Amino acid sequence: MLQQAFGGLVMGFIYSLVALGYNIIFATSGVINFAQGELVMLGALFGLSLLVSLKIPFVGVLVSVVLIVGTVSILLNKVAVEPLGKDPSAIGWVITTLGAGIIMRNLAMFGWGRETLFFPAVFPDKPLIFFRITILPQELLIIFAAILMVSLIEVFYSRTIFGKAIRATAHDYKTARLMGIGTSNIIAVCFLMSGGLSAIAGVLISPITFASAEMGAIIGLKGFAAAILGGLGNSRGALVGGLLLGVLEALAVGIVTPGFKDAIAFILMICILLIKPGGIMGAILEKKV
Amino acid sequence: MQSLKRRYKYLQMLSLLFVSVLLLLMPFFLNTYYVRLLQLIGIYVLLATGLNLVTGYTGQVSLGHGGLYGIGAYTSALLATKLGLSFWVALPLSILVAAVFGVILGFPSLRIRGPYLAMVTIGFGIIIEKIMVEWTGLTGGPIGIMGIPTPQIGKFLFTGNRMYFLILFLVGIGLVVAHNLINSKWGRAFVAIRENEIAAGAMGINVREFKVIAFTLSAAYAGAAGSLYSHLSGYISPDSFTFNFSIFSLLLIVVGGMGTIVGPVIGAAVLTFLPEVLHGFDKYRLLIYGVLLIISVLAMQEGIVGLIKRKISSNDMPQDSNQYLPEKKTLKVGFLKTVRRNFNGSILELVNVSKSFGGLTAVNRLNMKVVEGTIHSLIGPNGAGKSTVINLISGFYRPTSGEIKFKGRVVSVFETHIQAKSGIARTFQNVQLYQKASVLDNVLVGMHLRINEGFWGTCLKLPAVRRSENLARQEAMALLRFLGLERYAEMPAEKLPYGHQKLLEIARALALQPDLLLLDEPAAGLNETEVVELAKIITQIKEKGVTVLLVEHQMNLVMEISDYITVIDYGKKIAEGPPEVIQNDQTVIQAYLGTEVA
Repeated sequence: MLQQAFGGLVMGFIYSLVALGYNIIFATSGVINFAQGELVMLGALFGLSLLVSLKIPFVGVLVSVVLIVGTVSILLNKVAVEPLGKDPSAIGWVITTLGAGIIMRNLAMFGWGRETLFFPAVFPDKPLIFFRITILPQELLIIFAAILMVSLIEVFYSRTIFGKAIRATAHDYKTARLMGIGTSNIIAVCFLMSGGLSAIAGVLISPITFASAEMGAIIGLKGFAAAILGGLGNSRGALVGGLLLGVLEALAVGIVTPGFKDAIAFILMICILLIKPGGIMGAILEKKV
Repeated sequence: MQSLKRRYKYLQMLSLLFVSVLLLLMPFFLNTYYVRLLQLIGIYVLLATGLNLVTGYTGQVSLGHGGLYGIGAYTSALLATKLGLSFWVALPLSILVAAVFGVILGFPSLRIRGPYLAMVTIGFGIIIEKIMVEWTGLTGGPIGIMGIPTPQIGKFLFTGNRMYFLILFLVGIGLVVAHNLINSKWGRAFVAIRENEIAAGAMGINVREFKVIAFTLSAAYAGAAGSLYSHLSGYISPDSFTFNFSIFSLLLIVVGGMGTIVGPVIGAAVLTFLPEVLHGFDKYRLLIYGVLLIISVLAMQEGIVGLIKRKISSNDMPQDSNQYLPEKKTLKVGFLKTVRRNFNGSILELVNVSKSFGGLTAVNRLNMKVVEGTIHSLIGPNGAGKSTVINLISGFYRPTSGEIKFKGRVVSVFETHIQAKSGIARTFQNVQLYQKASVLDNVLVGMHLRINEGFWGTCLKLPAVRRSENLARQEAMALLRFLGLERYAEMPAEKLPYGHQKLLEIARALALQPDLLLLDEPAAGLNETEVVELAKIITQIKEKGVTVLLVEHQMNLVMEISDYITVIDYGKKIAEGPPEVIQNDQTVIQAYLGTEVA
């Protein structure tokens, strides 16, 4: 039981990172990026090639995938999001980001094939045992890295002038423009950050789940669920939502067959949303007249 | 413009006839493979038409329609294989079961919005998919269900071309019903919810009810499509009803054109034939697919239909002649038939009403009486709580304490559509129109409660419904004439200049045939000539027997037309009386000093 919960917690941190990626893009551009999972996948596959084929040290790999996937993410914004203009009611972006996701997945299949690929862990696979829970060093790395990323993002948002510009853009895009903030640059930076985060999530999780060109769909969906569960646009919400989702689905496996795992997670999510329509940490939207 | 419209209509009829003949003859010239494709297109058209009702018209994005489609398919398959029921029983039951799930899926939409709702629908689809895979005892698990019989009557089997004609027939019915519903109060209510939920409620539409109706209808279509698919292919498995299929359904309407009847048809045809065209590039097929997705959205707003529409009618909008003056200033049609009743003199009474938001008290123990048949103005400096009072009376807010009496009865339910039903209509400080709907449709939404169009009658477009629709249109036109907006009737509301939009709000509110009309700063943003006209219009409304409660900053207007004035500041009443008294009241002058000159 505890072992399962811990496994869920680790997955939950990954979901949190992906959820954070959704949040960053949603806050400034009002778009749910349905290609988010594919960014995770690209991070994993590029990371694998750099690590195994080019034998670049781990830290170098992290920096490179952030840059590579971040660039892809900016490109995604230029091609599939920016041309739509700023109309939050239109659902064109659902289709364009899905389309971009399909393109990424297929290009990845050309590059890396369809097989599931083994991803070596940075640390030796020697388990540590705490209170009868087996813990892999990789899992500790995931937890440490996820907490670090979330804290960095929070500090960046609240302490730097750039972070304030992002929040201003998120709050009121037009007024931010009038105040001299280059909102399209801000949005581009957000896509870069979001892509980078997803890439790191991909590299971190792959030693546990392995990497493949098709891994993006499910992790993207779970990350979205985590973001929604916690409340969109809220970093702490992403953390809470991700962990909750991870632990809940891990525990569900103990009760029902593994196949129902996803169903249980989503049923719980719908129930929580019915009680708190804006997510757990989300602000209640007052209707304005 | 009239002739152009008629020509457009003529063209429409002609192409409809052409397509119908083509569809009837086609199977005789095509091999079975292409007939099969046409059959699939038909099924997708049904599915997409349903999705279009909820997403295109009502504006609630569903990414879970694969699940509803699957429910239809599995219901039919199970009824046919396990209970041995015939297709003719299984089809209606599948529709029913899917519709029930539609209600279930619709309920979250009452509380959950936008991306959150999208996630809920995704979750719904995945849950259904997992049940199909995991509940092996019932659904056959990943292998699915085999041996689903072909529809038949006696010995007459619906195979090949016969099945094609059966599907064609059912799709025809589906499209006609959708068309009839969309061009009625039902469809207008859907569009009103999509365009502006707040204003939809204020016009008496029960937003929650209609959202659930939209989901239910949509699910019924998906159920029919699923059932047909089941009996057409004879074999189903969970693979056909995944999240990817839900996306594909959304694609059908986005590519074709959301919020149009032909959109789903075109979308289904294009997306089914596309893989055939791309046959030679099999390796790159999905890649090309992805590129096409992006292009289809970026290059053609409103899908293919939007593209065609823009080509045909690029410039048949009437030119704004810069003339504000209404064409006819008198009411010809008796559309304001308020019967005077005596509610002890006052139609509306506020007793010790308070409203606070957190720590802020916006309205503080306000007492106010509005005498029937008068123009009663509510004035006060900015932030005095005037709009809050309007929002309390129209049911947007529930008072923190105190009571509101309307027509002599204490108001207990604070829901905008209930207030609208009881005879309160309103306009908004910031224009809240259904921007993409036509000017005429905006007014027709205002008549929602009074148009007598039952659901089944509307589906069949019975003569009674047709008559009531015609009457409603005449009345709406008369209202537009009254406000000088007649020639803009077919224009989308968003194209109107600001002043006209404010007038359209009044027309829409009058369409409710209210006893009490709440006008929230109707003169804001109007120029002097327009204000003069507005004064005349409000006076005429009063003469027709409608009580007017006016919130306004333009003192000339207020002093000229008001019978009685209540002045509030910081949520408290500071003075009341006829205009002459208020003009000389020291407290009022003090309250206004430095902000506005009375």
